[in-house]
Amino acid sequence: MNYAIEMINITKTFGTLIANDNITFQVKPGEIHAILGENGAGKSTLMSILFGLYTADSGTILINGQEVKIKNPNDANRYKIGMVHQHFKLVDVFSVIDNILLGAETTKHGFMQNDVPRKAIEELSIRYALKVDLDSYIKDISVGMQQRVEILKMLYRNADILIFDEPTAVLTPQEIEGLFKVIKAFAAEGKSIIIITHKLNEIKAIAQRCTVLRKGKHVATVDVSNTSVERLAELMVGRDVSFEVEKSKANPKEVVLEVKNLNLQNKDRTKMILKNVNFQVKAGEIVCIAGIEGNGQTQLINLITGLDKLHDLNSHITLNGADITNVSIRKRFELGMSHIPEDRQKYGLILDYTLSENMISNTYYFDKFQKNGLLKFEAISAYTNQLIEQYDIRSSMGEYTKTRSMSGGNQQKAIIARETSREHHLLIAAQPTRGLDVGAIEYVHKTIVAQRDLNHAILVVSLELDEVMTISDRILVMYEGEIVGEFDPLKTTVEEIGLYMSGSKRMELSTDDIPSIH
Amino acid sequence: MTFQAFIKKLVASLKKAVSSSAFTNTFFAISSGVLVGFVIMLLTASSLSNAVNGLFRLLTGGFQSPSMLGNVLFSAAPLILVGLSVAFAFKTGLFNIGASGQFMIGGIFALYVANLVSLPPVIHFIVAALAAIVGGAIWGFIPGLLKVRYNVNEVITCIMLNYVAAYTSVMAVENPAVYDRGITAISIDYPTAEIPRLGLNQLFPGSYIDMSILIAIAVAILIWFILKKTTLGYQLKAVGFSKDASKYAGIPVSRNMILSMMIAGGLAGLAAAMNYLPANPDYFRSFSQINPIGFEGISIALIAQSHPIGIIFSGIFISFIKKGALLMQFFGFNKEITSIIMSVIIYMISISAFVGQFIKKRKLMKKQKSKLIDQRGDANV
Ligand SMILES: Nc1ncnc2c1ncn2[C@@H]1O[C@H](COP(=O)(O)OP(=O)(O)OP(=O)(O)O)[C@@H](O)[C@H]1O
Ligand SMILES: [Mg+2]
Repeated sequence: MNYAIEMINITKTFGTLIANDNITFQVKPGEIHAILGENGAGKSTLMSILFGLYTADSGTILINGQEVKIKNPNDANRYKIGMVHQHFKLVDVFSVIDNILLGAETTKHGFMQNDVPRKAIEELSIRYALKVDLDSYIKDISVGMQQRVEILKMLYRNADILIFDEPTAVLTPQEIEGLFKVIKAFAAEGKSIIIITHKLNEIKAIAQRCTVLRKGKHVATVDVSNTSVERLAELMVGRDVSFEVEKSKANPKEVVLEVKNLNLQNKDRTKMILKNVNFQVKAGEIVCIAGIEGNGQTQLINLITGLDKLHDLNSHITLNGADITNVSIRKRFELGMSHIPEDRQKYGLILDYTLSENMISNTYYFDKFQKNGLLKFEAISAYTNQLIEQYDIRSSMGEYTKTRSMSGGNQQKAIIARETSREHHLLIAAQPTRGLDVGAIEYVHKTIVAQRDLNHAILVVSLELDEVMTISDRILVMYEGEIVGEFDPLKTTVEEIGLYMSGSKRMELSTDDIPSIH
Repeated sequence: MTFQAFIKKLVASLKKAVSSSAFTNTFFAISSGVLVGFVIMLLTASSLSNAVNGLFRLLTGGFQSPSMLGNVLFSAAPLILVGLSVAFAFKTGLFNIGASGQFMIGGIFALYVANLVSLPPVIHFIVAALAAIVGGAIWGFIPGLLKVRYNVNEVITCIMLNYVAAYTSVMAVENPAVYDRGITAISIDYPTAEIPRLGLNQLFPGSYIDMSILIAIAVAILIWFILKKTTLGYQLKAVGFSKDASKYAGIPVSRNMILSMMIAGGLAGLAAAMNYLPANPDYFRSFSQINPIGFEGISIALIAQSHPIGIIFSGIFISFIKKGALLMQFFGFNKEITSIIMSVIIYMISISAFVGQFIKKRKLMKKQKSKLIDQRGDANV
């Protein structure tokens, strides 16, 4: 059998941590090969070695049977390897076309010649139905489109081996479907595809074989068609994983969060992003906001948490009876709000601070952690170690690890640990399980339910309908900035909610008296 | 922690710093700077022996006599404080290129208090120095405010404010009631506001030294302490690393940025007090020229990689080189050439400090790797 890629006995260490331990990994031409593993198992590291971002300490790489040395991404390009990273690597203030051409510019007498490449890119974009707007700036386009830019970037460099690191974590279901079509088209042309994902049903849907890693070691490579989802999960975690969360009936008490007549216009005042949004979240219940990405959920959360300022005078937000419409973020925290932000790298962590420094980022001024302005390092480190233990946060140097070097899933766990351990009465979680492995998702869901049972009020925004169905006590569906439906998860179906999410149906909810299903 | 334990810890960390690779890198940076300086001497000197003599002067001049050494320390004080000013802002993600302006305004404040207010000795000095801090802080506050309010880049505001400070000082200082000694200040108009000398001039007889160097060292330690151990340092650095994440965490971003610029300005102001309040003060360059000390401060911060304790040494070093360059004039190098040589050395050091940091990173990675392979090898046996 000849393989398109063979990585043989690859070992890679960071400090004392062995991220890849003697891993052997082979991909056939035209194959779609999935890599599965817990957060921090070493998936991104292995692929970064193939792409030349890291060099392995030992081991060999063969491309089409030839041994090669890949020292940097330019080498990888030469061997026609392309990669879409877990956290995109695009230049925000450049246009789409400039990003695609960056490093592969066509020049004449030192001047950029964009006409020819533009044609080529347009052709690629049509051929694979990768719709992008070449002249927009990256900062202005959706994550879905950013990903298409990354894919075009690979294709423009004639990549034959395509690596996708968690490509679906940030996409809507529709976008995922589109992406899978494209990937299948690539495979049909004989390109080899490697896809890292935590979603087992995606592996079932698209991959032929799957390699499972656990704590840096190769566990198994299996044929997907004759391996069940349960078996995959078990291989990966090393134990049974339950996909259902056990939870008792909610017992909602007093109103904790109340949003009244929330209206928001876009910057140039041409469109309403939020229209008359009204709802309450009570102590002891989990309210989920479902909806397709881009229907105002992000803005809603930003207004509630104070990341964005509210200008509409009739809009009001109250927390435990106190009007917080225009108070500072710190004040909101002090009044009992906790927030797991949607963008963990931008907001959730100070990436150049260590894990322990990040664990106190919103409580460092509490008496627990400081006295007369002096930080209490012992208390901070004890607190951090307790959270590391309790939430199983894995990293190379424990409390001293720079959070930038942690795996995506462990970064997320760190944020969840911080936000749920702090004293609070309301937990706002935006995409809390994005990028987490199934074991960790199970844990987060249990944590959220436990938070509810501690009589906290919980508001979750999720793009994953499965997640919404499993953890919520009440579902609100958002469509084009409005709440168009309210459901009891026990009395509805995914299909029904889907209709509301796509805007084909809506309920009339009265604005002053919010119906609740109890 | 007792004071003694604190000192002990400090000595231990100093030892560690000296034996670290950062220290060797700095050493190489400095040598390469001196080497390039020597090449220029060779090009401009009348003979080889002349150039060698010049180099010898440059490198030993500062040690030549106790009085010379005293003077090196004496003029290091303002340099250290300006270096701290740049480094402090840098830790909050701001580039304080306006230390010159803050220094000049601080100087005006110090001179006004020194000449127009009468107070008993020592107290007069303290009040004048505090006034200088306030003056510098105001000059730092402006770019900070403009940055957070109108998103104006602090570099641009700082550069413009340097000019405003230069012209303001012409207006303010050429007021006979304040400062009418022209440009060669030897007489003292404000003896009560003088910096106390604490007998240091007995230690370094014949030099101008006073307690300013002790003040500078104390302030450097204080700044190190603030950045490392306090909530203030924690939030300032957080803002420097990520404004978005700081905002999310409820850290008042705007307030911290303004505060950082004010502290940086205050440090530059204090530097001016150390410069203009000694018994033999530097003359005030009031001829509408920007005092270059702010730019020297950038080099000093850079050489020390913005580490407050390192800045004590880089400040003294720059002062040492400046004194040596002055002495070179006795060997036929004219003033312009010595300033060129000095600037080249400073630039080279700054550049190699950059390169050094890069090499350090690579070395560290390699070392970690080989260590691990060793460990694993052991395990296999
Ligand atoms: N540059 C680095 N320096 C130090 N440690 C690192 C570095 N990059 C990764 N690691 C560590 O290596 C381990 C594997 O990380 P990797 O990013 O490969 O995990 P992953 O399998 O992709 O996880 P996730 O699903 O969470 O993205 C983690 O424990 C991480 O902390
Ligand atoms: Mg990863």
